[in-house]
Amino acid sequence: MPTRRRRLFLIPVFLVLPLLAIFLVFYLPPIAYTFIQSFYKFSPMKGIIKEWHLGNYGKFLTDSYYLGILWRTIWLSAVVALVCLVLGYPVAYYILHMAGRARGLLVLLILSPLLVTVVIRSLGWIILLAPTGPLNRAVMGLHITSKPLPILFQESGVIIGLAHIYFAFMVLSLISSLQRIDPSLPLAARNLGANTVQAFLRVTLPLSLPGVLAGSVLVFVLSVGSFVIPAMLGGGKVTVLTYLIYQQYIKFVNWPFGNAMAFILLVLASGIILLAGRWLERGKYSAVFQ
Amino acid sequence: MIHVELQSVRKTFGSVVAVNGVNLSIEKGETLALLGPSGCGKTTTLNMIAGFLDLDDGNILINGKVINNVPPNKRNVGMVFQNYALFPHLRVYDNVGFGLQMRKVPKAEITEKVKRALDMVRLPGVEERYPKQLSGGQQQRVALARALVFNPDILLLDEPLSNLDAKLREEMRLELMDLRRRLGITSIFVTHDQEEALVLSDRVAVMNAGVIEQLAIPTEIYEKPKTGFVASFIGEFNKMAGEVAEIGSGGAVKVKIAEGVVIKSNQGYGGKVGDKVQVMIRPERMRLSLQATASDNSFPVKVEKIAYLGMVIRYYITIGGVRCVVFVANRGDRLNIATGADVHVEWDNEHSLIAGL
Ligand SMILES: Nc1ncnc2c1ncn2[C@@H]1O[C@H](COP(=O)(O)OP(=O)(O)OP(=O)(O)O)[C@@H](O)[C@H]1O
Ligand SMILES: [Mg+2]
Repeated sequence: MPTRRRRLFLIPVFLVLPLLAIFLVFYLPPIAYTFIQSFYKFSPMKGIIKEWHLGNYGKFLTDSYYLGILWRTIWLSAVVALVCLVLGYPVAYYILHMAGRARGLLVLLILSPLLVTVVIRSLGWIILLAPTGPLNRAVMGLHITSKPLPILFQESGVIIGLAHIYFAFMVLSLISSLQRIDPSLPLAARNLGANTVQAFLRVTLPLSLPGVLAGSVLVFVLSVGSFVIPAMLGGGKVTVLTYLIYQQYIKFVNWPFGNAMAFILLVLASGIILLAGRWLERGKYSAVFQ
Repeated sequence: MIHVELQSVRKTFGSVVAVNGVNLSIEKGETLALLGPSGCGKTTTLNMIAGFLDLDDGNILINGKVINNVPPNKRNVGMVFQNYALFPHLRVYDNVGFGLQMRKVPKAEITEKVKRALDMVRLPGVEERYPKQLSGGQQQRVALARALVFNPDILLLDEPLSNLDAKLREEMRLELMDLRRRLGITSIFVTHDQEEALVLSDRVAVMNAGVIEQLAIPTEIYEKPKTGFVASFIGEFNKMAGEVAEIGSGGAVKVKIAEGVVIKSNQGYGGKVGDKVQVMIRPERMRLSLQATASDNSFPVKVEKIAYLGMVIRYYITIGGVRCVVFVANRGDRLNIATGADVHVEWDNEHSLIAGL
């Protein structure tokens, strides 16, 4: 019996082995190499010099230009996550209360932006949001404004583009969390005297917080790491950190500095995620997360 | 005084008829058990009284007023859910106090009432715990405290004891009886456990396929089942098909089961001689004896199998080609009857119930 039990215990280990192998072989070495290289020196004439220093990090963290872009990247991504959350919650809630067939169709509809490649999708937004595009012609035709709305090649355009694709991730994560709530719980709240709104605020919403957190983190991380959409819908005027990194790699071939920026981005994004998680887990509804 | 009344209540889900014209009236302070097999519409009925489901047809009245369109939060009905439905993210204090918080009761009063409610269900001092940190029986008590703390007019319980193990169920059953007597609150509870229904209620409504087959006090449900379904659902019956051989005066009926096997009854029969009927006898109303005595019904039989259950002993025999079982209470003077023994099975006239086929 003991050997049998030991073997059963090993099954999960075997199951994660392939993933672990992929991670160790294809993922860890490049990251480790990038990390090491971020401490190397660089000269435009001689290229990468294998000498250790902290200058790459120092340069980034003391220059207000770089810090400004870092800040923009973070708040832009946070706004995208918030927009997805606010728009996605009612959709997820509604989908969950729909009949089987209609629910499948709506989920497909929400996933559909992911079926189109990012370049085509961004081009679509450019056409739609352009000063002479359908949106502005409609707005001006209705005399809501006299000038085209400043959306395209602005931060708002980037936010719209990012929210458009990552919306699906938010909705799916919210659905999976809402689905796990025992349907008799809101009924119990109603029975105890709560109206629909109170039942939602006191029971359904707190119990869906894990989904809110997971969805927000997902959208935030994806937005922080996105490159094509800010580049296209920002029209080169909305510089985000990924664009800076790209510049260092491709234009200036200054890989050490690019690597340092990539690492700062990684650490900051993970830090924010950890803090957000902690804040929620320590909060009033900590029991939801256990 | 009639407190709760259901008039021809009907509810369908698509093509499924869950509740098909239920009529009920419950007196103030009365406890009614809704008993029936799985899927017969018990929960649906309860959910309609709680206001979670709209009726397709009919009316629900509380104190003579139709409440079909009153939302659940305005009905002042306490409910214990089948799975308790405790809020996992709230402490016991907030769970029990939820109904009071919604009613804007001052905080000090909530604390006081929550404490009293927890004392009442004999679970003091667990205010700070989360539902997950309680055992099944303790969660059940919290659910009960939560449903009672705001002084509801009516208490609804959906299989309140079904998630507990046998021992705890017995204990909670006694406590519920006690609590019910002390509070005197009108209550309706759903169960598919017949013992629970008989023990805990003033009256039992036996449901089947969306309708109430019989509504009566527990003894009547057990002694005088009105339909074949009620008879087979409550307790056990030995059922023998036969033909009415003779209808005498004063309810005397003779039914021929097989050649030479005629069962006597004094329960009356409304049909005529020659009708195909079913004779039903409770296993505990039959006796076994070594010698034939002067009983109304007495047949020589062979003991085929014995099942020793501790409290009772079940003897399997065959009467007129029909397998029957006899329950004998274990009084310690174990009958000297072994498998294969020749004995006599006997019972009195009044225990032979006759139902049409
Ligand atoms: N929301 C629903 N949608 C569709 N059908 C339903 C729904 N709720 C109940 N039903 C159906 O209605 C019938 C009665 O269900 P109900 O839950 O009232 O049974 P029950 O007597 O409480 O059974 P159990 O003892 O298993 O709890 C069942 O056939 C069930 O499948
Ligand atoms: Mg049920």
